[in-house]
Amino acid sequence: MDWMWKWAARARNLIFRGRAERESAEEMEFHLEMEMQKRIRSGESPSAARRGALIDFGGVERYREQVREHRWGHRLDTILRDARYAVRLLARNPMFAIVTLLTLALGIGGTTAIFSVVNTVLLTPLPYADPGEIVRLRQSWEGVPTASISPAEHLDYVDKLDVFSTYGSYTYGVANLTGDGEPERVAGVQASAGVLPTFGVQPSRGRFFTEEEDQSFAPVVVISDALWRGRFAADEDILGRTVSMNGVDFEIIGVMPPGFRLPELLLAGGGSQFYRPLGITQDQVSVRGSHFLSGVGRLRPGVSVEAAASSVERVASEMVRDFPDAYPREMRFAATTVPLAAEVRGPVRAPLLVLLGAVGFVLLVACANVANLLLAQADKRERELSLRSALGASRGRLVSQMLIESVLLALLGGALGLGLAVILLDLGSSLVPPSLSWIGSAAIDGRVLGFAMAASVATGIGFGMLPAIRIGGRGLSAAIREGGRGSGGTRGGQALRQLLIVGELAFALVLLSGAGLLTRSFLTYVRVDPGVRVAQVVSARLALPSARYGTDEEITAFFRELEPRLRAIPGVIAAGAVSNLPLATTLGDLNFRIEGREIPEGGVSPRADWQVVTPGYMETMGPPLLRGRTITSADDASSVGVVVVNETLVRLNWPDEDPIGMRFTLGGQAGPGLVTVIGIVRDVRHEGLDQPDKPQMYLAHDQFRFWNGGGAATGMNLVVHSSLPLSELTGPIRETVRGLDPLLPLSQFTSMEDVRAEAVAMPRLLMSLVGAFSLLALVLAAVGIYGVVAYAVGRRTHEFGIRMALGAKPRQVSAMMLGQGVRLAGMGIALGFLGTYLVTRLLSTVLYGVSPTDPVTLTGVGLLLAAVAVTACWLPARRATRVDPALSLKVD
Amino acid sequence: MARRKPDLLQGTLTLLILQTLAREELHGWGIAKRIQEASKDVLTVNQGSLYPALQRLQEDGQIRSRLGETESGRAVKVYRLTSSGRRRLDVEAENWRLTSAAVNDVLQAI
Repeated sequence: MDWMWKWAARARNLIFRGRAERESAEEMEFHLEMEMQKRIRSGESPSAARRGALIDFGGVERYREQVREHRWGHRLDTILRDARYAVRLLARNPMFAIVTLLTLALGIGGTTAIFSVVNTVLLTPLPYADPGEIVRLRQSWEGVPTASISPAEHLDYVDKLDVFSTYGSYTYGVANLTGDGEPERVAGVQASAGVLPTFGVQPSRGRFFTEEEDQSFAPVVVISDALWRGRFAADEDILGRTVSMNGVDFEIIGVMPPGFRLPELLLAGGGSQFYRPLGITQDQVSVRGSHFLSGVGRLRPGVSVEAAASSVERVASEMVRDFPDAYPREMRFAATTVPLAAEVRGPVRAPLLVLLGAVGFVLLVACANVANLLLAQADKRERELSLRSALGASRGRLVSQMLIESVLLALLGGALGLGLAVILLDLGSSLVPPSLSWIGSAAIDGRVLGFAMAASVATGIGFGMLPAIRIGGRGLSAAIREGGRGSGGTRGGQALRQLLIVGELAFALVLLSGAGLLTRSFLTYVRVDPGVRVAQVVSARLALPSARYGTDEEITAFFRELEPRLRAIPGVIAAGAVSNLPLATTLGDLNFRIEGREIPEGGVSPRADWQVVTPGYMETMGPPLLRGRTITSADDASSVGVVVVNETLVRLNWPDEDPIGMRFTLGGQAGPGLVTVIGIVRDVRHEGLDQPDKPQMYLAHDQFRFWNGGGAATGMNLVVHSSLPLSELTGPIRETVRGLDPLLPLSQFTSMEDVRAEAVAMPRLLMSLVGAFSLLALVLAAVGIYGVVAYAVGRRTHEFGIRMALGAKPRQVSAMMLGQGVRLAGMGIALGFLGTYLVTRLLSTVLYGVSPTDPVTLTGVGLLLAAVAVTACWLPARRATRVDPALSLKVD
Repeated sequence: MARRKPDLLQGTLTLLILQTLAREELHGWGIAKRIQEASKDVLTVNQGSLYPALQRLQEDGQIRSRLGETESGRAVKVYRLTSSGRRRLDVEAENWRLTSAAVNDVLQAI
C-alpha cells in the first residue's frame, strides 16, 4: 500500500510543482510565525523575535532549494528547464538556429533516407516463411559463375539429395491468355511441384499442383491474385474454370496470396501471373545440355547450408563421373548452395553500402560544421557561463546544460531530417527507372525511426561534446579575466575549430574522390559500345500460340509475312525479329563440333551463345557485319544451313584461318545439324555493358527448327528501326500485327534507348547520389572554413588595428589570414587523400573501367577542393585589410 | 544562548522525525518543538533542515501528509507515519541503540 503513497507523493510533486512549491513556502512561513509567537510570549520584541526565528531556522531560501532538490522529479525538471532555456537561446539567434538545423536536417535526413532503403532491402527478412531455411542451388562452369540447371540435372537433385525437405526447379515464361476478354500476354512461371512449398507459401484459395500433375504435365494452373482480381473480376467460383494459355485450356486449381513473388522478382519488380507444372519426366533425362532452370530448396531441420552444399557438390561430382561427355573436365562443372537472402541481396549490397558510407560522411561533415558553430557560440557565451559558475552552478551542471542544448538541436534537426527523408524517398522512387523500383518500397518503420533518433542523439552528443568538454576543462575564472575579448579567441578553442575544419575538408575530399571515380566509371560505362544499334530502335514482344500455329511452316510463314509489312509502315527504315533482346536478357548456349576437327582426349567441345534472327534483324540492329554476308530470306528451310558468328567465336576457334565456309554441327540434337559459317559480325555485349565478350552465333529463324530438337521459335522480339518516337510507332505496329492475326497480343513495347538506360541505371544512381552527397559536403566544408577564418578575422580586428598602426600593410595582414586558411586546406586535403586511399578501394566492386586510385580523377578533385577552400578563406581574409586602425582600437 | 548544540549525525534526524510521528500526527513546527522539548533543549535542530528531510521521507513513502488545521483554525500540512515508516523506525531505532551502546563501550574502555 505504501508504494502508492510514495508514488502519489512523487507524482503530485512533479505534476503540481507550483502547488508543492507554494505549500512548502507556506509550511515554512507557518513555522516561522509559530516560532515568533513563542518568542514574543517569552518577552522578546517582535523584530527580535522575527530575527531569532530566522536564525534558528537557518535560511529559508536554502532549505526551500534543498526541498526542491530532494524532489524525485528534480533531475527531469532541470533537464526541462535547460531545454526551455536552449529553445529561448535558439529563438534569440534565428540565423544560427536556421543554419544549424538545416545542416543537421540534411545530414540526418540523407542518412535516414539511405538507411531506410538499406533497412528494407538488406535487413528485412525475405517475405517467405522461415526464409533462413531456403537456399539457392547454384551450378557453375569455367567462366560462368552462375549457370542454370538442365532437366536431367533437376531430376538428379530430386532423386539424390536428402538435405532438403522440399526441392524444386522453375523457369520464367510468358503465355498468351485468350478466351474471356482481350487477348493478353502475361509473364508466369513453370515450376516443379516442390517450388511453391519450398517458399512456404499457401494458396489463398484452392491448391497447388501435385507431383503427379507436375510429371504428367497436367493442364492445371495456379493464378496470381492480381490476375484473379483483374481478368476474372475476383470470381468466387474461380476454381475449376478454364483459361486458355497459348491456345491450350488449363484448369484453374488455385489462387496465390497477394504480393507473392519469386526471389528474382523481389528487387526487379513485376510479378508472375501464373504457375503451371514444369512437366519434366524421366523421359527427358537425356536433356542434360539444355540449361534453363533455377533451383531452390528448403533445408531439412538441423541441416546447415554448408552440409547441404557439400551434399550438392557430391551429387554434382557424381554427374561429372557418370556423364563425362556432358561435363568435360576443363569446364570445371560444379554445384553448391547459397542462402537465398545472400543471392537476392548480393547485387545491391555493395552499391547500398557505398551509399550509406557516403551519406554517413556527409553526416560527419555536417556534425563538424555544427560543432564549429557551437564552439563559436560557446566563446560568445563565456561571460554568461562564467557568471553562472560564479553564482554556484557546478561544472557538471554547465556541461550537462551544453549537452542538453546540443541534443535538443540535434533532435529538432533530426525531426526535420525525418521529414526530408520521407520527401527524398518519395522523390527517389518517382525518379528511378523500373529496374530500381525497389527503392520506392523503402518505408519508414520503427527501426528507421529508431535509427533517426539514435543518429540525432549520437550526433548531438558528438558535436556537443567538444564545447562541453572545453567548458569542463577550462578554468572559468580565466574566462572572466579574459573577458569576452581575448586575442583571437582562446587558443584551445581556435585549435579545436581548426582541427574540425581539417577533418571536414578531409571527409569532403574522400566524398569528392568517390563521386569523381563513380562519374568516370559511369561515363566509361555508357560509352561502351553494346555492338548493336540502340538509337532509333523500338521493340515489342510477341509469341505465337501453339494451338493456332501448330507447324513449323505456319510459324516461319508468319514471320516471313510480318517483316515486309512492318517495313512498309511509313517512317520505318528496317524491321526484324530476334529471339532475345540485347541488354535486357541472358542468352542460352549450345556446344558444337567443327567439321574435320577431333576433340582431343579430355578436350572441350566449343560452345557459343545463340540467337535466332529473321533476315531483317541485322539490318535493323546490327551487329555490324565485318566479313562475308548476313542471313537473308533465301536462307530458308529448303536451303543449306547457315550461321553468322562473332569475332570472339572466330578468335577462339579459327585464330589463324578464314572461317567463312567452315562447317560445324550444333549440339547433339537430331536433324541435319550442319551449318556453314557465312559471315562474321562484331561482338555484342548482350548480357550487360560490363560483361566480357563471349562467343556468339546467329541462326536463321527459318532453319532453326532443324537443330533445336523442338520446333521453330514462337516467342520473338520484333525490332523496328525508325526515326519516329516509340509513341508514334506502337499504334502502327499493333495494327500491322493485327492485320496478320487479330488475336495476337503484343507486349513490352520499349525503345532500345530505355533498355540501355535500364542497363546503366545502377551506375547512374550511384553517380548521381554520391555526386549530390559530395557537393553537399563541399558546400558544408566551404561554409565551415569560411566561418572559421571569418571568426578569427572578427576576433582579431583589434590586433590588426595595432599591427597596421605599427606599420603592417593591409596586404600582409590579409596574407596572414589567408595563409592560415590555406594551411588548414592543405592539411585537410593531405589527410583526405590518405582517407581516399583507404576508403576508395572499397569502391572497386562498383567501379567499371577506372582504378580506385585513378590519378586524373584524384588530382582533379584535389584541385577543386583546394580552389573552393582558398576562395572560402580569401573572402573573409580580404575583410581583414579593410580594418581602420583608429576605429578598431576604439572598439570595446 | 551559549547552549551546546551538537551536530546531528547523518540519519539521526530521520530517526527523530519517525519517532516523533510514531506517537501522533504533527505539523513541521510541532515536530521541531517536540524534539526540542523531549531532548530538554539539547537538540535544537537547525530547524529548516527538517523540511528537506520531511520531503524525502514523504517521497520515499515512509510518511504521508494531509492538510490539517491548527487549534487556531489555520490550514497546515500535518504528517503521519505509514506502516513502512513504522518498520523503518524499528530498524533505525535498533541501529541507534547498537551504535550508541558500542560508542559508550568504547568511551568507557579507553
